[in-house]
Amino acid sequence: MPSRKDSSSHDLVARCQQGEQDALSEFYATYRQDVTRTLFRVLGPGADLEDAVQDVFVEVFRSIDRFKGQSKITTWLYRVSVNVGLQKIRRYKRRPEGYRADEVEQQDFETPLRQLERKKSSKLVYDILETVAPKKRAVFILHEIAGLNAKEIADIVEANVLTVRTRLHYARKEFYKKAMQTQLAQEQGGAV
Amino acid sequence: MSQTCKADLGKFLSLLEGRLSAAEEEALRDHMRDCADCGYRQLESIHGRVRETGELTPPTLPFKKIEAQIRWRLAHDKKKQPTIAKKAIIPWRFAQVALAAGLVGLVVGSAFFGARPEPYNVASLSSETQNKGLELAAVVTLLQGKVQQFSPDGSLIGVDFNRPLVEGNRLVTGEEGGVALQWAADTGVRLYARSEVQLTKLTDRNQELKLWQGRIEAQIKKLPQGVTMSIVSNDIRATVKGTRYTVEAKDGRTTVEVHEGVVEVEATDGRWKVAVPKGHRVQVEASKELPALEPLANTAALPSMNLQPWQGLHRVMASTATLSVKTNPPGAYLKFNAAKVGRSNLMLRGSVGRHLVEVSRDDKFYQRRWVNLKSDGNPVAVALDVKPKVVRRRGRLQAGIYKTVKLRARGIRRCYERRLKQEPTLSGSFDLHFAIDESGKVQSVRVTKDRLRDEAVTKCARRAVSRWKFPAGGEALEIVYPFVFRAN
Repeated sequence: MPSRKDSSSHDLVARCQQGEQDALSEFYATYRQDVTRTLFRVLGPGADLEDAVQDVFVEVFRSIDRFKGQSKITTWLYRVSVNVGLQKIRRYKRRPEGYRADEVEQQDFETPLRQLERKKSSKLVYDILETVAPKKRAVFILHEIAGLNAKEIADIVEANVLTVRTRLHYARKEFYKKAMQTQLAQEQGGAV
Repeated sequence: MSQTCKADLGKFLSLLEGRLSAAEEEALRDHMRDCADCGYRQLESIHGRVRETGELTPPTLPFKKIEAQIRWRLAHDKKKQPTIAKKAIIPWRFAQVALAAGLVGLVVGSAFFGARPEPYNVASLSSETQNKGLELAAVVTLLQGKVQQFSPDGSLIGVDFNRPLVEGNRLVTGEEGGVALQWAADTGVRLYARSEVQLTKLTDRNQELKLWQGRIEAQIKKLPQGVTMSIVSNDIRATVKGTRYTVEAKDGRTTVEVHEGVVEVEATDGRWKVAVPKGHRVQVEASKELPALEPLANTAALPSMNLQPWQGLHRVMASTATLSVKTNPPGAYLKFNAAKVGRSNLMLRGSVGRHLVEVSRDDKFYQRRWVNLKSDGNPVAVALDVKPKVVRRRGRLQAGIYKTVKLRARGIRRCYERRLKQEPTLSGSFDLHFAIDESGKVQSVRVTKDRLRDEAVTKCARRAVSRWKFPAGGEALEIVYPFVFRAN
């Protein structure tokens, strides 16, 4: 999630805490894309994002009074989004059947073949991640897919940096071991 | 898959984590460049694919609709609604089980709440009337497919059986959707698929529905003098007394088919008026003058609208709770449209101001709530706990439930023991109320009569009980189980 100017964000949160209806709408409009992107990364393509986005904002607005400004708003939102995402995965055990490739929007400059390759490999990535334990999976997704560093992840998952590094190490070990045995390893063309 | 060069995963992870020395890293990269069938290259390819996954953009979501749903949930689900259909009952202590462990003694007693089925219905209530008549609420009696209504901010929200509709509500049905509404005995409408209708007037004197598009069928009881019921489309107004008819607005044309009684069809600008008898129809186009009567081609019976005995619905409500309203400033009025048994949202409409809503049952005060209405006419949801009438009776705790509690009570004992290490004199008791649904899951837990006064223990106990699982297949129950904690 890109970082935002936190002074104005904190004003917005303060207005939300006072129960201003317009502020809630503004908050939602400001952060809905960020939340969607995070959930998309955690849940993978084909998941029920609409429901998850709803859950995140309901959770955020319910607990906004407890937000004391000790962390960045984006970090807090990341934390809620990741937790809601993991909760959804736990609840349904695995992502819904039937990967709907057409739901994944691609960049215009890509050829259809390239797009298809990316969709296929992202599905395989999430298939493997389903077998990885939630805490390790969260760290793996936040680092490898969302591109956050260990310090940022530590703030989000509320663990220390060393724990995050350890989890990441074991998550990678498990993931690459499984990936080598699957189709992902067999599709070398044009990936790197 | 086999390579001529097998990769050492540990070494590759060291490369990713930056734990290789510069020389080692350079050697590995040289190897990857020169090796024809290299395991490391394969690992790096996988790594690249994982990184690429992060570049995928999420699908575009209907954010406006999601916002409306979020607002709805925030307004209505502040506390999770219990899914227990029926609750119970009488406390009856039948056992005292002593559990001793080390220095600690814990006495567990039980009380049983038997259940009596309570109808879970919605009824309309109306209060003080202004000149326009008593405001009514329409109850949903049939629902199929996708049916939505416009919320005050213009977004679409779902329609369900538990939420009555009031004047101003606008409904939209989807491709295979349909909904039937009833607001009085033998009086209701059925909205067919791909239709849109607004309840423009819904009082006991005047009921008017605006059909924006699609097809609507009305079944109306013979109305008393001075009461009108009409359906209005862009071109016509079909007014009725005691009949059954359909109105369809499609492709700039409105068709009225009369199956029972007589319907008076009038141009909205008043240019003409025609009475359509049973078994006939008229088709009106915007430009057309007085339409001709045609016999109905299809006289097959219309499908049932599932109209309910209305007095029955009223009685359910009356036997459950009475709602009274005191207003502030004096003279202001407040109308309540409906309340349902269970944790419920009461839809209130009224003038701007601070109003006091009271709920009572059998002349006994039940609940009091101040409500601020900020804008005229917009319904405001207020959460009220309208519980079913409790019938107390004696009974035995079912063996399966008793066994589960006995087995799992040690978890609660552990909560106490943990705190006892810090507070060696801690003792007291509390009653744990927990509601179990038919599947045996614990739906809600609360603590009453807390004489232990230790939040850590009560919180831990609530958490422990919420995880308990009882045998499935029994009736939904609320159980009260007293726990006594004494240090030996």
